[in-house]
Amino acid sequence: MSFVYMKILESRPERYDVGMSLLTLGTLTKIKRQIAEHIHPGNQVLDLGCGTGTLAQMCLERGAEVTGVDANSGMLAVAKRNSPSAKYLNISLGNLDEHLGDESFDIILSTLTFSELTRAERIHVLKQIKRVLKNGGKVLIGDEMIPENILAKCLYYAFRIPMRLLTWVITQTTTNAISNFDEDVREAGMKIVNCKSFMLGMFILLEIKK
Amino acid sequence: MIGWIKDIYQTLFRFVRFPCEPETVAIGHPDKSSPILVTCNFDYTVRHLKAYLEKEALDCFLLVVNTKGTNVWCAAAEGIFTAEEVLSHLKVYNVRERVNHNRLILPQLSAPGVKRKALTEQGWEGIYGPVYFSDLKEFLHNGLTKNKDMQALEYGYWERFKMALSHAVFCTLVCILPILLFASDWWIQGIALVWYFAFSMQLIEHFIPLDRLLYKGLVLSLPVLALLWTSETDPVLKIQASMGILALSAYIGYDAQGHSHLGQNQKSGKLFAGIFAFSALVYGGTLLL
Repeated sequence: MSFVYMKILESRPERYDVGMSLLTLGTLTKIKRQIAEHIHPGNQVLDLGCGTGTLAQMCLERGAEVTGVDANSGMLAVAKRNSPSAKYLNISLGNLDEHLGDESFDIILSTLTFSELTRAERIHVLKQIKRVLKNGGKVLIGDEMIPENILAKCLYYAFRIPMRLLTWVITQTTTNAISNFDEDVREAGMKIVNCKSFMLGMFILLEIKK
Repeated sequence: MIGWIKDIYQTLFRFVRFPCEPETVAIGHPDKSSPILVTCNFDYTVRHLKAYLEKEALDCFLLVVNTKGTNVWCAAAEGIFTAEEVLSHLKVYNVRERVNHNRLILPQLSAPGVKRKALTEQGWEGIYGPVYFSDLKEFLHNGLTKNKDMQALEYGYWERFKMALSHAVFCTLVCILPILLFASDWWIQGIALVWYFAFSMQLIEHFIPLDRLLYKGLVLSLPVLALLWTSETDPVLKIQASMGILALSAYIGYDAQGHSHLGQNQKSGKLFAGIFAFSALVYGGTLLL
């Protein structure tokens, strides 16, 4: 591989937030703010796929105790600079059972994380979420979906292709949309209690409970 | 899509990641004692590895670990193909329930990333297999032992040619804009030069007795400079073109460090920047003439 390109890739975490804001036209930030509104002082919060720690920082500002998990050490290095008060685990989401105890979190968050996983991985992680979530706790997942409405689906593809290209140029990464996520949630033994959609259903914010 | 078309574009655009679905797939008719082979979800490798295993009728389980489409060696060196990822995959796909043993056959080139100790701590035994999957049949039939040939990494001319193609495409994409901006009348010659440097850096650089690839790039510019100075009469154009050739050869030489993890960290960054600054200054100076 090109050495210069490798160096560009290494600096990717620094540009991740800019690229993702662009790709989602600011929707990701809006979703994160809405997620943060659910946080109360003293909440034990788990941020799965915390990336550069922007959501972790919002939760910390609302008085929560935050644990961020991400498999990407480069992203975590940026997160530790952005919000050093959070606790971080550099582990793969498939290995949550090794590191997190049963019923240890009030709120579990994730943004643009599940869309990076395969269906088998999603179900495995959702089962782990169910295990570590306290009774009465909630899960808030903001992610990219393929809209079900045909017109919205056409718009989705027309909009996403050029935006993906632009985002890839900036961050050398992109996102993948999920379909039939409700089935995954059911298979993991949980239920969706609230669903908000953004940008004609391209992005959703789900509230899930045990 | 037809396999060979995929092979062509995945070779030309090797710098882009080509992921396939991570999975645990049964090849042939494996039973509980069948070997477990581990690889990354780099589409090119997975397609060829599956075809090989099927052709040789090797009954086994193939674990295609999620490295976001990066190949084994790069993913291991970048820290995205790790024991952590392998263990995660084993859990997600319930591999333990499908076999009655704990041996995982890992690609030898995964050694920088997949640490066997971490696997052992979780009850798995990691065994590094041969460098090339074409030796897997012999490796499996010899009781998981490797001879010296199976451990040797070759960088033959065919591999160099494929790397040159990919590097030439990448460098063309990087250089096309500057070439069109600064040498629009000579864009064909400019792109031809990019391909000359990209190919010569792969195919003949090892004959140049210098240590740093940047120096080798500069040496490769000498015949081009000689041709320029003997054929061109306009002195300003000679200087401008020389600066372009110098900058291009320095860039492609410097950039070639990325072709092997063994060739990186040559500490040529300052020299590279210096050559670029010098070329830009001289070129700028000629515009005042």
